[in-house]
Amino acid sequence: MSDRARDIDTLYRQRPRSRFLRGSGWLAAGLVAAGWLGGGFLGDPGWTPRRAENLTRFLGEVVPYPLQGEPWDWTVAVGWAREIWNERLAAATLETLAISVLAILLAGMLGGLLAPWATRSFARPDPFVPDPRPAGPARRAAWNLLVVVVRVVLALLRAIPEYVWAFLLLALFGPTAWPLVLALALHNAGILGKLTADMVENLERSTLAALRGLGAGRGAVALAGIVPLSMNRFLLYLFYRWETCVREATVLGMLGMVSLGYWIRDARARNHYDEMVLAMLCGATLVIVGDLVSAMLRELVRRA
Amino acid sequence: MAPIAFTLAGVTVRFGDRVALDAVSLDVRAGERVALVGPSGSGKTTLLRLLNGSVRPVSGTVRAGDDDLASLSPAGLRALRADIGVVHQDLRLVPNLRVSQNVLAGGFGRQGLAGAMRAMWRPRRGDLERAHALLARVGIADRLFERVDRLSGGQQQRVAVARALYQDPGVLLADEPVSAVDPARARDTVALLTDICIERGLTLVMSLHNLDLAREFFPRLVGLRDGAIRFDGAPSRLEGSAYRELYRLPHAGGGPDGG
Amino acid sequence: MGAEHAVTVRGRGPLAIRPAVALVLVLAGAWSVWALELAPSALWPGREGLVLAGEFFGRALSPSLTREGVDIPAGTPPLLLTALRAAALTVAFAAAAMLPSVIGGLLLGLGASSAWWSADRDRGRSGRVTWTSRVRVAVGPAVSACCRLLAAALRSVHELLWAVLFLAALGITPLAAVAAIALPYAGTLAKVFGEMIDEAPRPAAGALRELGAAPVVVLAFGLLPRALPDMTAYALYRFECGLRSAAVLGFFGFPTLGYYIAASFENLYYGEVWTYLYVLLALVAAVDWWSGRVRERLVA
Repeated sequence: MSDRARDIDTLYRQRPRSRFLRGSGWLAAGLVAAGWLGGGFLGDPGWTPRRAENLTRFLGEVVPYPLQGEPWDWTVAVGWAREIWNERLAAATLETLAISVLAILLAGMLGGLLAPWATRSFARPDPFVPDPRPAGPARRAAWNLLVVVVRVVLALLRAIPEYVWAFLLLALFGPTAWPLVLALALHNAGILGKLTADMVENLERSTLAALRGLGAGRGAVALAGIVPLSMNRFLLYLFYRWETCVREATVLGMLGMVSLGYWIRDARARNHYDEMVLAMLCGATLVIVGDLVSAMLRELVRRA
Repeated sequence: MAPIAFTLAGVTVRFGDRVALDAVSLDVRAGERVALVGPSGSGKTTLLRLLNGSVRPVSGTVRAGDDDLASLSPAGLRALRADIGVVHQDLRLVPNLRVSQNVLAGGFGRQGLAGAMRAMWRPRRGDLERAHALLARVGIADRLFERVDRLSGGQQQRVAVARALYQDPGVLLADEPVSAVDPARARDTVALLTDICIERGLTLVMSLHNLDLAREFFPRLVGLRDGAIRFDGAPSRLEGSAYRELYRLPHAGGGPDGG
Repeated sequence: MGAEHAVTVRGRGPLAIRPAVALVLVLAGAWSVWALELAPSALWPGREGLVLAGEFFGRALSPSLTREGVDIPAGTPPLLLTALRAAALTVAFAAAAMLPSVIGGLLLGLGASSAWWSADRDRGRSGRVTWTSRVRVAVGPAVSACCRLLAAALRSVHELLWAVLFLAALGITPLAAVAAIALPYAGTLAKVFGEMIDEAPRPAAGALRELGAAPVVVLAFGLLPRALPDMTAYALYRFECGLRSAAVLGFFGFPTLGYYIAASFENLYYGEVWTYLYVLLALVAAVDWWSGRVRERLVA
């Protein structure tokens, strides 16, 4: 073995590497492998005649009702779709949109109100400018506790899926649109609150410290400093989350309340798969339009 | 492998309305060391980029060895480029890969996807030894398996040089390799590049803002201004009126032989 | 001095557009309230609702460790074992779904990005034009648009709706659950991966092209490595979302966490509901922590 080869071997053994990343890679691979092996997929019978039959029947029933067993005719199909659209899907699509809009506004308010108290640079005895006379340990501990509690609440809000929130709130409020709106609002408040708090922590300190140096109180710093400095990013987050709100709003109604999801569930219960797929298409179109509008709004905010 | 010589005949390059090079003719013989000098925006970088086919002239011909670059097939162009090492001003390394991977990437011109994958993930011992030897030549052999973004700027530049040498090229092109480093290191880098080219008999074409370094290390200077060659010859001849002409200095006032 | 700072902040835009923005947001809110015929009075849950809310949230700090209810059939597994099994299945569905989503997202995202053809287009202005590069420039934008459209279509249908479709075709099988998660996730990953590949710094790719590397090699080892840290972090975030989606699929009969949340809630076993909710929270928080550490090390 040459000196060079020995050198390379030594360097290779001493090469810097992150044990954590290597372990993470193995963990990810292990999870996927365990998922496939342990998730019950091995017992899956694969492509059976019964499934093929199911699928053919299903596809047959997706064809608009007046055309089942008939040759395809666009005028009939469009007429059928228009009738259902006018009768219920138009209103349901608008309701779905309204749910998403109201939900994101409430989420923005709640998240915006909670965020400052989850911001470590703001929720402390001496925000932004170190106090020459440090606060006592009790006051510091109280502020720290507040930050931790608010962050845990935010984590709980966003860890629980919208659908679960809606299911729980439905029992509370009964079948109005409120459970859907509040479910979306709570989950997204958790996300917006965390994103905003992290963003405020990363804001440039100098302006805020200068305001503070002028003698501005906590509220004045928030209103005159933090809000204008973070408004654009906050709106970006808001529109980005609105996009996902629209998407979620299309399904929450499946719990049995207004909006598109209700009609999807209703059609499914009646085995009218043609209507079900039509309602899903309305939802998909709404989501795509929402994506485009959100992208446009975010571009506007970025340019502002 | 036959070293390449370049021939430019009446080459004009335009970017939109701007004329970058205007009817330039130039010969570079194999094994020669040429420094391209002149003020910023004079066309030095464009001329370098012509030589490996990165820029296409609107008129005139560029020949590398016996090949007319305009008539090369994609495979022919790739083969030609594999034989031309380039050191860019901004280095153009992959910062989140290891030094060894960046150096071995120099072999990509002669490899397909399978060879490249092997070089990145399971490099052959012989290839690693060659990379190690080149890194030893530029003085950073002990960084073989370091991530590039963990290195200093000067060390990263040496990685870029090693990658170009790993190609085993006949020609080395260097585009302002020292414009971003401090003067002491600039001299070291130019010395290293010229030494290596002398050792290996490589043709070297380097664009260089620093005229002093060009005079010290290159037997031939090519001076450009406004996309045209205003000077071509030994450094000793770039004096007086020739110098003022190149940098468009006022003719009044004393130079070595002016007045 | 500080006042000057404040003034520059004021001139920077956000405040200038704020009245208009605020007005639009308020109008949007008013329209939604009107469209939904929502009375704020409906927010008052009534005496019954309050009692229920009190009972439910009252159990938040005392989740059950054993089964609630009086006559538990013999042979029923202990609550924590059920929770553990449901959690394991939730993780299994989410993890299994990540494999096809990431592969599909990568292929579709590469197709949607302009990385494999824009260099040819840019070179066309001053560089060499070959017939392969001409083909790439000609079909590239169209192929990218098609990939983007397909990705948008996949993710515009919610995973629960995909689940409804797959249930109709396949019945309650794990494959239906994984397919329902994987399809929209592949669409989302494709969109984000495509953007990340397009935004990755390109100098290294240019250098590899100049030393004669084949286009596919340039893409694989010049461009993708730059985008990979961001892509990895985002895939981990999607895994976290996948956990939530897999849990919710329980509402459609798959025995994941959602199934037991719904069952316990309907039996009024609120302590059990909180147990399952906390298990879900723990899963999500663990993955959140994990992806945060991975991102730190990859990006730094």
